[in-house]
Order: sequence, then structure tokens, then C-alpha cells
Amino acid sequence: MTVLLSCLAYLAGAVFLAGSVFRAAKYARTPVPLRWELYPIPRGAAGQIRYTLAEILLLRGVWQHNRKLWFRTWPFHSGIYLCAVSLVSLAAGFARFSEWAALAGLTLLLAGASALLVARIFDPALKPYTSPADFFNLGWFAAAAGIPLASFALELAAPATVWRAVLTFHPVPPLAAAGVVLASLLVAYIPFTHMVHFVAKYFAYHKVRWDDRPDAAVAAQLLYTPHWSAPHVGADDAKTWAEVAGASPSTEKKS
Amino acid sequence: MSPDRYSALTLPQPKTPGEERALVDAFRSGLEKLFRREDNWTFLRPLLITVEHCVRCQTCAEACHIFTGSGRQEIYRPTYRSEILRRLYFKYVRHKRWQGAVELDWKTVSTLAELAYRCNLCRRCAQACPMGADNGLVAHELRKLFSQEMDIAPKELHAAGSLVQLRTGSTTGMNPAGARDCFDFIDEEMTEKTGIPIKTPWDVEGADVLLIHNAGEVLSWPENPGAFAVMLTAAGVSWTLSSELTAYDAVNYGLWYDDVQFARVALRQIEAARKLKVKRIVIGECGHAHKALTVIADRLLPSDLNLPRESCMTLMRDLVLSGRLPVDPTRNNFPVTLHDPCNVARLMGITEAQRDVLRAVCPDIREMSPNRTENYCCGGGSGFALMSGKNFLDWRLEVAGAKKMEQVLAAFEGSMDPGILKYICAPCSNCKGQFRDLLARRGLWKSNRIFYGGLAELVVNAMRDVKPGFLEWEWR
Repeated sequence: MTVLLSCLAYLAGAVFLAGSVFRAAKYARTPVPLRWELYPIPRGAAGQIRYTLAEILLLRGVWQHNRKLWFRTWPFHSGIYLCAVSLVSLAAGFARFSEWAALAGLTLLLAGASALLVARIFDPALKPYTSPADFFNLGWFAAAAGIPLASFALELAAPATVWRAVLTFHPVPPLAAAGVVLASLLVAYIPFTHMVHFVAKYFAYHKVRWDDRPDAAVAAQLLYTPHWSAPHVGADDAKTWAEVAGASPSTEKKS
Repeated sequence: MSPDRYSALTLPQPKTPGEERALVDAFRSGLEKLFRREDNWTFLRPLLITVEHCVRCQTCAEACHIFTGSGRQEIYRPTYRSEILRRLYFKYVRHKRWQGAVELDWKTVSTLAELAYRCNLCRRCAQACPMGADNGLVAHELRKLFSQEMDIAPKELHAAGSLVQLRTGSTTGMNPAGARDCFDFIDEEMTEKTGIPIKTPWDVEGADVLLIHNAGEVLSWPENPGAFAVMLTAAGVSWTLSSELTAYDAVNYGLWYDDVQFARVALRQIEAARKLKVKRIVIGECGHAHKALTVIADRLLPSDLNLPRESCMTLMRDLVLSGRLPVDPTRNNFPVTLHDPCNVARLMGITEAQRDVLRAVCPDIREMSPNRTENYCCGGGSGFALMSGKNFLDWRLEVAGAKKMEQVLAAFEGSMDPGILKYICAPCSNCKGQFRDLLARRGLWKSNRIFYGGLAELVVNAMRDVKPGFLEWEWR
């Protein structure tokens, strides 16, 4: 059982990495779009890094445009960051710091996920736009944060200590093990949901919003064959996009 | 079938279940194409990011002038139409459950068709989105689906718009001979008004500047192209207009609803410039034409067609600030507020050139708040200023234009006395059309003497070499 739990944790990490790379590759492989930038564009690498860090760490956009949500979503996100920091510092040998980071992270995550869940259930602006998957995901986050905290309270199993045990193939108490299972499955599941927006955001900002470069890479895309059916397009399943754009509007209905 | 009591489109009304099925099937076919690289390479990447990653946090809602201007009606929330599309995408393209219920029937399809035309595509919502999702793009893509797959588009933009432009040379229906006649008339007017002999040059090979106006200006506000002729003549710029089809009309309505029509017009405009061997193209005071030809067309152009394209704002700044056009700002001694056209400001980043010009020619500038890249759309964007439909005019003036009028009135606060002439500087033809209708609907010219016009007119009104009184303050 101990070995299985440890293998699950490592496997989840691998799936997370592979899934994230897969998702990034999916967007990277989409055709280069027409220019569609949005201003102001932060100038230079330093400007873009500053903007990105403020966006990731402080959720600046939400702070500016949706303060009420920020008080729910910032704890949620910073909780995730602290849990990640805890794992890294554990690996780096900072055990005491790792423990505090994990406890703080899990507490913030539980608070944030619960607050977001409550908002999704009761806020009339959010409720109609919340799918069953959203409730499920937030509930999962809340459980994945709450169970290790319960284990800490009931089994005296400190979260970072639990993870050190799991990652070194040592046994952990039952509730702590349940928390590890939930967290591992969640980590493996994230890349296959919209929650992988940390990947999408890179493309949204760097490859759309801020991408004001002319780009010759579309030359190959002009050779794609469009299949649109409206008569004026004049697509006949043979003409390329360039040929369609170079022709006058057709009046013949596509057969 | 309209989700509100307004109508932008003349939608087919299926008479039998079979007709209804055919329309719904056509929509579904278009939906699939919207997410296929061969059919929609132009915007697939931002569209996928938006539908797959919008977390529906509603952060964008308060940024939308239509949502707030409507009294926060749910159907105008930026995510409303996007959420329908998102659910359809997951259900019918990705075949995934758990992403929310949706039925694909004629009611859903016709609702989406109309709602695609309840967004100005100003993308202020996208600017507010921390995720980088773009609900304005969703409206654009829905319009494309309806046009390119189902042949459904507002007649003002398509049948009487881009199709007419490609056939006759201009969306106004003006052929090249007609355009030249109009400019002959404008030249005479300008010569008489300014005291400077004006003769608009046509088809001058190797000119430094090919100027392309929105042809609507020629018919509705001829003083604007006239003012450009005066400025360029007085400054000794080597310039020309082109009489090639589509190249004497900068508009490109395809930008708002149809990638194919967009590309056709842009390629013809650039080809005309290449034939004339001009050094650069300068786009007149038309916001969407700015973005269409300089930004959106950019990656479509092979290297031999990728000629320098420039905004008239920077050209005017160069002429005024270099001293080539000596000006006396006291001639514009009245309050002026500047409207930032979304296409020029938020979508191209041009915010300071027009202000540099204004500061040089106007002593009393009243900034709207917010402004520059955070401006609000006038409510006429994405073709709405051209569209009146059955009762669409009411919607664009009462709902889409409400926020902008608030801004204008706030900018002129303290100067509403009808004894004080006031000027909304709107360097964009569409925006001017919307301001004309907004001011007329509210009677603000008659009761408070709020007028509207372009930037070039203010420059010429301030030119020392021009007879005083270029601005006539006559309502049109």
C-alpha cells in the first residue's frame, strides 16, 4: 500500500508535467493567427516580466477589475503557490520552512476554494455560468486541502512530513494517505481541464495580445483549403485560402 | 426571433420543421469549421484559448459599456453569448459532458445570430480579462460563422457593403468617375473657403503618400477630406489618391464579420498602392480602416505587398509640430473633447499623436474619463453606426451609446450653456456617424451647442495661411 501511494504521487507529477506540455504543444501547434493585439503592450522583456509577475503572484487584473472576487481567488491561488513552494523547499532540505509553507498554503487553499464554491452557489452573476464540472473541481480542491489539515489535527501528521514520507516510500496515517490520494489525482487531472490556464495564459498574452510582429509563418496557412458554404466565399473544396481571397465574391451556391 | 425587442439582421424564418433542421444543421457545420485549422486559421488560437479557458468569473462584465448601459441586462453580459458558444463547442465539437446544458435548435441559433450584433467588438472586456480570454472575439467569430457558412449578415455590411465595394469600388456605390467628380467639387469648395488653390492629385506614380479616405466622408462630411487636401497642399507633401477600385475607399467591413471579404478588400487596396509605386499608404480618419489595413492585414501580405502603412494622426502630428503648417490655436477658442476610437487607441496603441496635434491647435481641451486605451466605445463600433435595421437605431443610441454620452456630458460639465460652442473631436468616420445620431437624438446641438467633427478640420481651422472661419458650425 505504501509503495502504491508513493508510485501514485510520482505518477501524478509525471502526468501533470506531460499533460501541461501536451496542452502547451496543442496551442503552439495552432496556426499563427492574424494580428489581434491589445494595448497597452508592456515594452521590452523587463516590462513584460514585471507585468507577468504581478499578474501571477498578485492577480493584478482581478484586483483592478473585480475586487470582490480577488478576496476569494487570491487566497486560492496563493495557497496553491505555497503548497508548491513547500514541496520545493522540502526537496531542498528546508524542512521547517516547508512545514509552515504547507500549513499556510493548505489553509489559504481551503479558505479560497470554499469561498469560491460559496460564490458559485449563491452569487446570481456567477451561478448561471457555473457548470457541474466547476462545482466538482472546487469541491475537490477544498477536500484536497481540508483532509491534510484534518489529518494534522487528528493524526498529528504534519503535511510536509507526510509528503516526505510518501516521496521516500514510507508509510503515512490513513487520513493523510487519503489526502495524498486526492491531491495526486487532482494534480494529474488539472492539465485536462480549463484549470490549466497557466499554460493558456502564456499563449493568450505572448502569442496574441502582445504579439505585434509581422510574421511570415502564415504563408503555409494561405495554402489551406477552406470549406465554408456561403456562396460569396466561393470555396469549392479545392481552392486554397489565397485563391479564395484573390477571387471576386462568387454568386454560385456551393454544391 | 430576437432575444430582445431589437433586430440587426433579417433572419430567415423557417416555415417547416425541415427548413428549421436545415438551418440548424448549417449552423452546426459552421460551428465545426470555426474550430478547424483549415477553415479558421486566422483566429483559431485566440478562439480556442477563450472558449477553453474562460473561467466565467465575470470580471469583464463591468468593463462593457453595453452591459452597464443596458442597466446590466443579462443578455448583454459579455460572457452570455460566449457561454452558449462554449457549451455548444464542448457538446458538439468536443463531445464532452459536464460543461453545462445547451440545446442546439433554431431558437439558440437565432439568438446567437442577433447577439453577435449586440457587441461593438471594442474588446474592452478582453482588456479587463486576467485570463486573456476575449469575448469580443467570440462575437466576431459568431458573425463569421453566420456569414461564411450561412450567408447571414446585416445587409448594410454585406449585400450593400463589402459586396458593393468589391463590385463598384466603394461601399457608397461611388465608381471611380463619381469619386473624382466629388473631389472636384470638394476642391472648388476648399479653394473658395481657404484661399489656397486646391487640386486633388489622382494616380500620381511614385508619390510619397497614397491617402485613402473612408468614402463615406466624401458624401457626409466632405470638409474632412477637403481639410486633408488643404493640409497636404499647404505643407507641400507629395501625395495622391488612387482611382483603382476599392483604393479610394479605405473601409473594410469584412473586418467585422467575414475574413474572406476582409482579405479581398485589403489585398486590392494594397495592390493599388503597389501599382502606383507610392512610398507609403496613409489612412484617413477612419478607425476600422486603420486597424484593418495596418494591423489585421499585416500577416496576410506577401513581402512584395507589405508596403509601409501609416496613420493620418502621425502624419498630421509631423506636419503641425514641424512647423510646416503654421497654426494659431486661438482660432479654436472653444472647449474640445477628444474621443479615442477603439480601433485606433485600444487596438493599435495610437493615443498620443492626436493629442500632440490637439494641444498645438486647441487651447481648451477637456479629456474624457477614462481615455486613451481605456476609452469607451461610442456605441457605433463594428459597423453599428451604419446599421439602423428595423429598430436597431434605437438600441445603438439608447443602450450602446449611453456610456459615451455620459462621458461627453461630464467632459463639458460647466460649459453646457448654449452660448458656448463645444466640439467633440472624433477622428473616425463611424464614430462621427454615431455622434451625429446621438447628439440629434438628445437634441444636444440645438439645446447646448455640442457639435462634432474630425481632427483635420480643427487643424485647418487653426492654420494661419487659411482664411478664418473654416469650421462653419452647421449641423449635418
